[in-house]
Amino acid sequence: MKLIVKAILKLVMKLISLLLLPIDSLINQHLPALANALDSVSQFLTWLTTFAKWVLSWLPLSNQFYAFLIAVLVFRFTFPLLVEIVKLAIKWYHYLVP
Amino acid sequence: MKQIFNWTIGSFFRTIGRIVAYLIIGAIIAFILMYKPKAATLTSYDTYTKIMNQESGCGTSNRYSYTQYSNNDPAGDLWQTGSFNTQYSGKAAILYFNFQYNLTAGKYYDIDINFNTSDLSSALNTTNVYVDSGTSCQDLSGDRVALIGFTLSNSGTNYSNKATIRILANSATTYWAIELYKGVGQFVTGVNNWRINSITITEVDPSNTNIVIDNATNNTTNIINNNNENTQQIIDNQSQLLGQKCSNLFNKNAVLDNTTFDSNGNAFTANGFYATSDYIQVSPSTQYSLDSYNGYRVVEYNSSKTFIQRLFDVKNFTTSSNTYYIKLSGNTSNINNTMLVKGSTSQPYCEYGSYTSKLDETNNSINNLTDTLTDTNTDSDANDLSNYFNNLELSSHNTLASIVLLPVNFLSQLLDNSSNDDICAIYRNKNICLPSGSLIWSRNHSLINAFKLFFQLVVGGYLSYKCLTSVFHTAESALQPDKTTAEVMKL
Repeated sequence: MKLIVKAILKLVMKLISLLLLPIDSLINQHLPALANALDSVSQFLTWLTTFAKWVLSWLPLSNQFYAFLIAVLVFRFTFPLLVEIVKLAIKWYHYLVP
Repeated sequence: MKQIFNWTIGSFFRTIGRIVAYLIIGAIIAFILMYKPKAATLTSYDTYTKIMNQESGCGTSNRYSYTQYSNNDPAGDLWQTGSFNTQYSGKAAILYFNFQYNLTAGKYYDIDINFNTSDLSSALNTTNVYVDSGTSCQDLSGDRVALIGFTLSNSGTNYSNKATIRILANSATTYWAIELYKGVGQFVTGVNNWRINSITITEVDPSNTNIVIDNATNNTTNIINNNNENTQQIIDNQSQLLGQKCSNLFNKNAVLDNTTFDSNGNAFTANGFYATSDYIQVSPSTQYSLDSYNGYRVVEYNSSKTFIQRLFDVKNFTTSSNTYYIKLSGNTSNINNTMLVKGSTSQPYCEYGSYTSKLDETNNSINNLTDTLTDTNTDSDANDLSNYFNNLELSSHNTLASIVLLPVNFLSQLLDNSSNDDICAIYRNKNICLPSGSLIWSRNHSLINAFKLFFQLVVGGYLSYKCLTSVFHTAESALQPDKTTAEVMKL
C-alpha cells in the first residue's frame, strides 16, 4: 500500500507541475524577483514541514498508521476526480454513440 | 468549596496514599518471594572425636580418645600420620565422629566430607569409602552407605577428594564412621597420612533429589536427542554433498576378459566377451533390468553359491526363488554401458559405486544463474523504472508548483520517515537538531509499550474511525448521479 500511495503522490505532483509549468515559466523569465520571493516562501514552508515531522515523531503512532492516514487523504482527493472522469467518459460515449 | 477541595487536594492525597499503599504491598510481596528458609549448615570441626590409635580399637578407653578438637587445627591433629590398617577386630573405621548437634529425626542431611592424603598409592588402593552409623562406637550396625562422588584430584603434592552422602537422621544414631575399603570386605592396609579436611552437614529437602534426577534425565535426553540430530544432520550433509549413489550392481573393474559361461555355468575362454569374477548379490524372485544390449548371459547361484541355471541372451530377467547370487557375462564392446539394476525399468548408465555429485549440480545452477544475470541488464531496467516519473521533470524552477505541492510533498516525505535520527534544520546558518521522539518510542519498556498501546488504541482508533467515515462520505458524495462537479485537492 505504501508504494502504491507513493506512486500516486508522485504522479499527482508531476501532473500538477505540468499544469503549472506555463505560469512558472512566465514567472521565471519575466518576473525573476517574484520567482526569488516564491522560492524563499517555498524554502520557508519546507523548513517548517521539517519541524512538523519532528512533532509527529513524538506521537506514538506507527508508520503504518501514517501510511493509512495518507492513503485516506489521497483517496479523498483523487477518488471524486476519478469518478468525474468516468462520468465524463460515459457522457462522451453516449454523445458519440447515441 | 468542599467539592473543590475534594476534587483537588483530596484526590491528590488519595492518589499519594494509593501509591504508598501499592509500594508497601509490593515490598511485602517481594519480601515473600525473596525469602527462602535457610538450610541448617553445621560444621563438625568442633564436634568430632578422633581415634588416636586405630590399632587399639574402639572399645579400649585409654586408646580411644573423645577429646573435643577445636575448629582450627593448626597442629595437624586431624592428620592420621604414619602407616596403619583399616581392619581391626572386625572394625574398619579410621576416624569416628559424632554429632553434638541433635539432628532432627526423620529429616535428611547431606554430609560433605573432604579428604586429603599425601600418599597417592594408599589413595588409589582405597577404592571405596563408606559411612557407617550406629548407636555407639562399638555398635556400628547401621546400613553402610557408599559415599557419592568419591574422586581424587591432584592439588600440589597432596591428593584430595570430596565426597557427599545423604542420610536420614535417626535420633538413636549418634556415631558415625568413615571406612576405607579396597573392595567389598577388603580392608586397606598401609594407609598413610590420611586426614579429614572438613565435614559439613546441611539439611536438605529430599524432594530436591527428584528435581535433580529429573533435570539430569532431561539433560541426558536432550544430549541424546541433540546427538541424534547432529548425527542425522551429518548424514544428511554427507548425502547432500555426495548426492545419490549409483544403483548399478555391475562393477566393470571386477571382470575376467575373454571369458563367458557355458550352459552349466562353467567359465570358458571366448574372445570378445567378459565375465564377472565376483558374485553379485541379488534377491530371490526379483526382477532385474539390464541396458539395451540383449546378449547377456546370467548365471544364477543359491545362497551357498551353488550353480542353479544359466540364462542366455537376456535383457530383463527374474531371479529364481532360491537365487541369491548371480554372475554376468556380456560383450566387451558394451562393458562401458552395462547397467544392472533392480526393478523392471532400465536406467541410464552410471559407474558402480559412484555418486551423482550435488556439487556439480550446484555449480551448474550457479553458472546458469550467473549467465542469466549477466545476459539480462537488470540494473538499467531498475533505473528506468525508478526514474520513470523523475524523467517528467519539466522545469528547473518549479517556484509556484513547489508551494502548491508542499502538502503533497510533505506527505510523500512522511512515508519515507522511518529513521530514528535527529531531525535537523538550518536556522541562521546553524544546524538545529532536535531529538526524534522515536528514540523513546522505540525503547522496549513495559510502561512505554503500555502507553503506546493505549495511545494507539484511543487516538489512533478515533482517527481511524474519522478517516473511514470520511472515506465513506467522500465515496457517497462522489457517486451521486446528479453530482457533476469534481472535488479536487484542497491545497
